[in-house]
Amino acid sequence: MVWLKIKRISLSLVLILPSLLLINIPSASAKTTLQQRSLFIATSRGGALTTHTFSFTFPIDVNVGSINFQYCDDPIDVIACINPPGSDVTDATLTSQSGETGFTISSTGTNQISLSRTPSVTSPQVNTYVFDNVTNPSNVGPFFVRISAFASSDGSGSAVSFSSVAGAITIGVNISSEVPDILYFCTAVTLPTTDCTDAIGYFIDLGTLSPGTTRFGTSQFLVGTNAANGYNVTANGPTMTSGTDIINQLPGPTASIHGLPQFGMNLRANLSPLLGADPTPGTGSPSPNYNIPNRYTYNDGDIVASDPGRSLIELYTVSYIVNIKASQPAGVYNTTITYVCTAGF
Amino acid sequence: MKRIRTMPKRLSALLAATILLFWIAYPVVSYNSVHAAQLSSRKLLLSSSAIGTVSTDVGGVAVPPGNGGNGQKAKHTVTFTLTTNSSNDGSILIMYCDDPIPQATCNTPTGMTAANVAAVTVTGGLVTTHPYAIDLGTTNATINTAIGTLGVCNGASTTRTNCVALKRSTADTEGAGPTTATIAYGGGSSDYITNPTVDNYSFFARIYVFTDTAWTKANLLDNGSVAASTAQQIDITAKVKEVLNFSVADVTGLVAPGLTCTPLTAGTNGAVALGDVNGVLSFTTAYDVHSYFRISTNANGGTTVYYSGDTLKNGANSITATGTTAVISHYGTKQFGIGIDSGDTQGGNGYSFTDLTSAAQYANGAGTINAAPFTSNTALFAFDTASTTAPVIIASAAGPVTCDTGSVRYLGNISVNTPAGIYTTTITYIALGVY
Repeated sequence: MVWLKIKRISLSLVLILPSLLLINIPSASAKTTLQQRSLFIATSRGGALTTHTFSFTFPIDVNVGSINFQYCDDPIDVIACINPPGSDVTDATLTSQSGETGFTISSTGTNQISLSRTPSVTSPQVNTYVFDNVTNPSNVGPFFVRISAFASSDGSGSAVSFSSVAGAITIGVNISSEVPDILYFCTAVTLPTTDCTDAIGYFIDLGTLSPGTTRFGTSQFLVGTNAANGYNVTANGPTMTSGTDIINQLPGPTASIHGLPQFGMNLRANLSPLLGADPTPGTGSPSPNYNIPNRYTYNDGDIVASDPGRSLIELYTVSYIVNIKASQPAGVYNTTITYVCTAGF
Repeated sequence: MKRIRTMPKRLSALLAATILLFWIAYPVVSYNSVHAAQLSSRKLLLSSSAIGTVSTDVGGVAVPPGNGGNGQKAKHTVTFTLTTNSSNDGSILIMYCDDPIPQATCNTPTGMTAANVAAVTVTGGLVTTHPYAIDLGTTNATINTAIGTLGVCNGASTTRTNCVALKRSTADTEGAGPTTATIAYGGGSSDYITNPTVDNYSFFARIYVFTDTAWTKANLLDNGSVAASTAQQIDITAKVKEVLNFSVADVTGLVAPGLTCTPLTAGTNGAVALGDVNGVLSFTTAYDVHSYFRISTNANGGTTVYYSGDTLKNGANSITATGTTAVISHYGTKQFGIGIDSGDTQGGNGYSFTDLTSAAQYANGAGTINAAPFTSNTALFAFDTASTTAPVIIASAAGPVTCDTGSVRYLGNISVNTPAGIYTTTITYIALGVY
């Protein structure tokens, strides 16, 4: 009995030990994982025809003859690859490559691009492949591209390296704004800024008129518009009157002369008398008759300033002069000048 | 007859069991047949049991020298306690063999090499009057002559394939003991020991301590052997999917991120009006509007969010983009720009950068746009129309992003002469993850 037990034990050990030695510890895949891998899509809009740029490095030097890019709805290689709806790389072209080079497209399908070259050993470097004419998936959300590198030049055999990258389709932000028709115009005795709400005064008191003295005053107007055909500003109203008595208006540009009945204006800086200011720089300008320094004129309804096109805000200063003759009837002379700006949109 | 026939079978079984028992016990038997005392508490600690050809993990990623997955550039640490105290010791030889017995032939374990061991670190209780240091100058031939039948150090000249030789400049006397010594070497990028290249392979280190400084067999003080083994690495693979959840919406699609970083909903499908309640711009007032993006990704190599698009246009007319340098709002001038609005938190659903950082020129979208004078405005906006062909970075992170929401503020200003019309543009946001 003792001998039999020893025999059984020894036989058991003899049988068990080899089996222990033969335990097969499952080895993970020999595929290396691509590092620093990314997918840059030039536009993230669904269904857009765009450019996809892949970058990655090989973790160790391996012999590579082909690389497959497979578009899927899941990055895991053991899960069946379903092409993301709308994605299409059939017409993809390889527009540039760097790092491991020498590749050409050997085939394309709806969701796969295959590159091929004469197999050679990789180097530690960033590899970049740019594909044009790629149609993005149409649905908003992530999609994945499985990248497999093979030693063979035709994608046969086991992959030596594999990994996936993710991309994301999003909606675009569509911004819309409306720019309305704009005519910015205001008048006042003084406009200290380009803001019409800062306007000051509307009444000019020229004091007591005298044949030996020229009386004068100024007012201002601002104008700007986005009208394609610009603007015209007209001055409207009678000359200065007092009942039936009038002070003659100057029908053409004339110098200011004491002792003559004169009512006129211009839109320039003057020295005789020292009066007014030139318009602020811009594309608009005073009408010719109102654009001569030291010469004054006025005709009801005249265009005094204009711009043939769109105009930024410009400030015009209107200079008024009044002279009277010695026999000018006494009275209170006044007038109201109304400026009208018309824009051509 | 039966008994007679059974005996040979029993004897053979007993013999087989005896051989088996011997085979199992063999590596742990310690030998001491050179009349020296046996070192006690001996052990050899390997930084890695991987074979000497392994320096990367299953994914091909390099494992640093001295780490558990690198058998090519391993670190070995030998520890023992001297049995013979109060005696001189001046040299130590650690000899790697395929057999622990000193009198047995020493073959270098397959594939192993100690040729790249450049230094040793000796700690423990050994006196340090004349500290031990690695010997790289004595030829193996000299050592082999000195140690006689204790084994052999293989390798040409001073290249030690299987030995690590240490010595003091002058032998020192240890104290009363017990004296423990720990000798470590290797584990560096250029200072390392390479494990045997066979999986599940037992190998041995014979440790000799000599009273002189020249490894002389006759002066052997203590010795002992230790066993070690390479082991098949167990490669464990688990797959984590690449994740890039990136969504864009206007304010009506701005939902709470929750615990799962809920994507923004479609909202108005991205349609936003920049202007007053009717989407009309004015040259006397600046207008703004917001859109949002939300991103969650495990891209540990970095995350980048780009924008791509043109300025507002109506046919040939356009509202001037603010350019690549951020500027303040100036109503009355044509401006279209964007900025990240860190103040637009929307009760926790809006701006929430934790991992992302705004690009510098887009980082200050929060603040005023209609202050008087305009120079008092604080919000800054930029916009690069070249982004239509070369998308521009608006935010980025050095690693993954748990769940960040970006609030993009759009500025619209016009001048008085900006041609009338409907101005539109589409801005696309692109997320890039580096895995």
